[in-house]
Amino acid sequence: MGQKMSSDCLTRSEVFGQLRRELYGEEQSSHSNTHLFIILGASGDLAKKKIYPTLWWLFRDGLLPDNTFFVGFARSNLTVDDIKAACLPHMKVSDEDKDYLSAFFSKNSYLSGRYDDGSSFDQLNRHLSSLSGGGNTNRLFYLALPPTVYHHVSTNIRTHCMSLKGWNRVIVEKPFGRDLQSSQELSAHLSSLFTEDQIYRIDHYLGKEMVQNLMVLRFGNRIFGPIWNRNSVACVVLTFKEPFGTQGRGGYFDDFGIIRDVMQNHLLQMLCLVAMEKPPSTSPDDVRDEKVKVLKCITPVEVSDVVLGQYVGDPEGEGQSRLGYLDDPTVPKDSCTPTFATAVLYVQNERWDGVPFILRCGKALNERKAEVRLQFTDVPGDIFGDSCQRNELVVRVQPDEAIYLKMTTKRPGVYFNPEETELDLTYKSRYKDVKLPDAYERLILDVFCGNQMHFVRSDELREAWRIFTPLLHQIEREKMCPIPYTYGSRGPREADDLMKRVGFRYEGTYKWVQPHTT
Amino acid sequence: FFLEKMSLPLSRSEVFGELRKELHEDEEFHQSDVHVFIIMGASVRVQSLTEWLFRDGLLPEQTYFVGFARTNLSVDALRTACMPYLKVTDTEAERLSAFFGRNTYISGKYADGDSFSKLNAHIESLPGGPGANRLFYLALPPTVYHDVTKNIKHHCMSMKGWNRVIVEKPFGHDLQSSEELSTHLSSLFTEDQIYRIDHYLGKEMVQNLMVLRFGNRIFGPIWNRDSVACVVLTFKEPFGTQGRGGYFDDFGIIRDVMQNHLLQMLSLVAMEKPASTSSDDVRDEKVKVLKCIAPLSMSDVVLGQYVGDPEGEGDAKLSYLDDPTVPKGSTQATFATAVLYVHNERWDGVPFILRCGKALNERKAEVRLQFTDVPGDIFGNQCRRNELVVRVQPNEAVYAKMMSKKPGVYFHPEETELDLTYKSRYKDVKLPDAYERLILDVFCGSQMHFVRSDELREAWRIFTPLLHQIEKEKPKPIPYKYGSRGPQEADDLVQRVGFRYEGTYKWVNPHRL
Repeated sequence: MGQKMSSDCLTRSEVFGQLRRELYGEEQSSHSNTHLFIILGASGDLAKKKIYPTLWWLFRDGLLPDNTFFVGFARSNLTVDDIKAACLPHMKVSDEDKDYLSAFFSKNSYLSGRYDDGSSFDQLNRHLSSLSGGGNTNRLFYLALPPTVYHHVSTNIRTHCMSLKGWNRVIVEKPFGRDLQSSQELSAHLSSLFTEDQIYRIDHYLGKEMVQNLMVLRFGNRIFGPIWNRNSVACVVLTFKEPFGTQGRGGYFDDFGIIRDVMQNHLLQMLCLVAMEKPPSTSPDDVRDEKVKVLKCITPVEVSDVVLGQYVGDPEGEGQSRLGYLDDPTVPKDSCTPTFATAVLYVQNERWDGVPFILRCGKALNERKAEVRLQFTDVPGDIFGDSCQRNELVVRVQPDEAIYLKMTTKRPGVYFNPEETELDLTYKSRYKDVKLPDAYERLILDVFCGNQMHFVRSDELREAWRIFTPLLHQIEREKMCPIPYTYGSRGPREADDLMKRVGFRYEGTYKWVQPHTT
Repeated sequence: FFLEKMSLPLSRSEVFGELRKELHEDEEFHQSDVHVFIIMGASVRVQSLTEWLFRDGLLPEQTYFVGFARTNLSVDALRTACMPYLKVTDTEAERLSAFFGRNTYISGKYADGDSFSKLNAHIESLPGGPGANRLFYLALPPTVYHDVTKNIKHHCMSMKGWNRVIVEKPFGHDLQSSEELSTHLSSLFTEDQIYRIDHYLGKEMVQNLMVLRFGNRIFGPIWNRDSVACVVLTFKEPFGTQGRGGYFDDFGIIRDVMQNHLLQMLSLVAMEKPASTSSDDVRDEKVKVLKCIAPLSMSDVVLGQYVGDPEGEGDAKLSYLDDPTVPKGSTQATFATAVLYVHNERWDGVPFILRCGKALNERKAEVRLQFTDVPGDIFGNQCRRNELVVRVQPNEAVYAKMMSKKPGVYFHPEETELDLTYKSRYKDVKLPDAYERLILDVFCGSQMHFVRSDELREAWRIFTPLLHQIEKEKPKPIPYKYGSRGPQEADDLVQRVGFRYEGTYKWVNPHRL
């Protein structure tokens, strides 16, 4: 897959060499030749569906260092074969990959133990040492665990499993707490054990092609510089929409709600990348410094700037769409958890003062879509009799990655009136032979390479929680009732009203046209 | 054929009604429903154009066509001459007959008042003729302009309807001769009766320039000297004079292409936003741009003349001087690159590079804005300059060359484009011919896409000193090979004034399978 990504014909090792040079710098990589990737929670869903398959793809494509071993650790008594059986359905193995697959699993081992038991981790450490053959090893610990055991596991890793000669990196998954206080407690705990440059907090949106592209688009193009500010931008809309509901897995979701699940992390991360100033360099900390600066300029969200929704079944729908959120048997009967939210934030700095950043996300909506949309202001002194619609720059994150600039052109033919069209860059048309890697592939590779740019730093996380915690507490305290919306709809009408009120213009006259269909 | 262009199925009269509403908002049009289109010179080309428009139902129903020339011709003979250009399908045969049923032909002498009285009597004799609006298309060599226009004025003007006169280039060959012609014309007709055709103004993408610029908020803040490094206006033809160099040699590439077509495009790129889209508001702004351009000096110009490519095939083996109609030893330029500066607040210091030539490596007409480098680049000088390209022909397109993250597990920028290719985006739209649009504009009384006297004067003012110097000193144009990019010296000049060409990017048609 790595080979297919590049247009030049490179061998696997050349690709990796190139990547390493680009992402990594030569010195660090010579620390050690052996890498140990330890999955804590190896029997869980995340490990089975995401982590093992991702490691396999990276291995298959020759993107991992040659001497890499994978060690699973969990409470259950399992064998590597059990792990393999559980993961295979998610690994997309083709016939010609069979040999590689055996090679991959021959580098795997599994240990069971208790998360709160120091001796289990001693045992793990002995196993890790035995794999390295006594040489230097770098260790990557992936915490694919429920928050309840984070404390013990991280303490035990620190106490028993750190490599003394190579580097140690710890990959952490959300939830990173559930409000400012709990998140700060977790961060304080982690930083008592590890340094910031050892901690890799995953927000998988930061691994997406188009999210990563935002920086290049913004800072690599002269034409966007002069218009990327409050003088030209009317509003920014960050959207995440899913066309399905909780599908019987609402139990976990109900503890968190859509704001914690999507808005406070994924959408806010995209906001930072859209709003931040140009960093002095592309080094991870320079970039993250700028992202934090954006967050610091955002005041906590007010309830009056938020619309919450909860989906109800569509009696005319089919299958799942007949079911409301409350019909999910794992959801408490009287749950007020929002499955939809629209919130308006303002970045109070010189560049963005007064420009609404609209964050929209929801389940059981009319489409699957994640995008960043900058809507520009009206043309001043219009000479076309008010027939010009606003320009918009849209970066579509998923599905069907694209960048397009909604703009006005002369209606083709013997006319002279303006009509809407777009300048388009649709990836699957423009880059036909390029397979975009999965977000997790990129991120895990980044951990190997020691690149923290696409990971969430402690202070970013703190600021993100600062913005949303008062709102979340108020919602929970007052048990605010979300507005019901029909499964498969655009969400509550009130959300569209809010957007309109703060300045987003939706004319309904334009629909993106795939210019390449025949 | 026009109906196919539209996305909505409209009847012919609806289409025409809509066009009329859009293009022509004053009442003049309604003075008379009868129009007489008089072609002076009985040109097959103009005849064919009117037939297309008639067939497409774009002309008012009651329109008659009258040919006038010295030769003794019949309508049938004209029809036969036109047939190869008409592209008539079987279903259109009836419409074709209807068209030629509206055609008449009169022969007469251009200098002879009586011939024009006869022409006038003929026009009056047509149904509704006495009150009809009259369009005179002067498809004539410049030598007879004087006589014909005078005779039209004295013998053929409609007293009740309006009169409009369509004039084609050459509009003189320098400032003085052009001014004489303009003075003559304006002694006979008012400015709003004169329609000077520069057919580039009838092209889809040239007409689009105004909408692109003034209909989009995003272009406003970057369309100036702060963001634009240079503007390149290009016209390239892949063939030489092909045995028809006699006419060309009198004029040369600067008069043939640069002083009119390229300069018109320059005006549309550089002008300020007009007060409205009314014809004179737009032309006022174009004139203002020209007024800010100093006459060209020799040091800002590279001239070339093509020589045969011994390794080429067919015509490519032939030099300009091998054309038997070209005078031996001619120093006429078949290629020119010139750099102009618009000395106003928006454009001071920004080079406008005009390039045109025959027998080059490709057929292309385009407008290209190259933007300045990204200030404070953080990607280790991997960023190439942004460019906005409006491709006029062939294959109409607008695209913004820009940087994007190299797709995949990379994080470095690479060149790509945001693209709008007409034939992909507007699959069912057939773009009308430039002349078709312009003739329609004359019917509708819209002068926006025609050259006003003062525009013409300013254009000649800019180029006349250079042209005179060339003719006086007869500098030898730099030879360049048939099928090449033109003289290396032209690329050097372009680079010297600030255009950056890296050779790393090639436009990719994203729609090709």
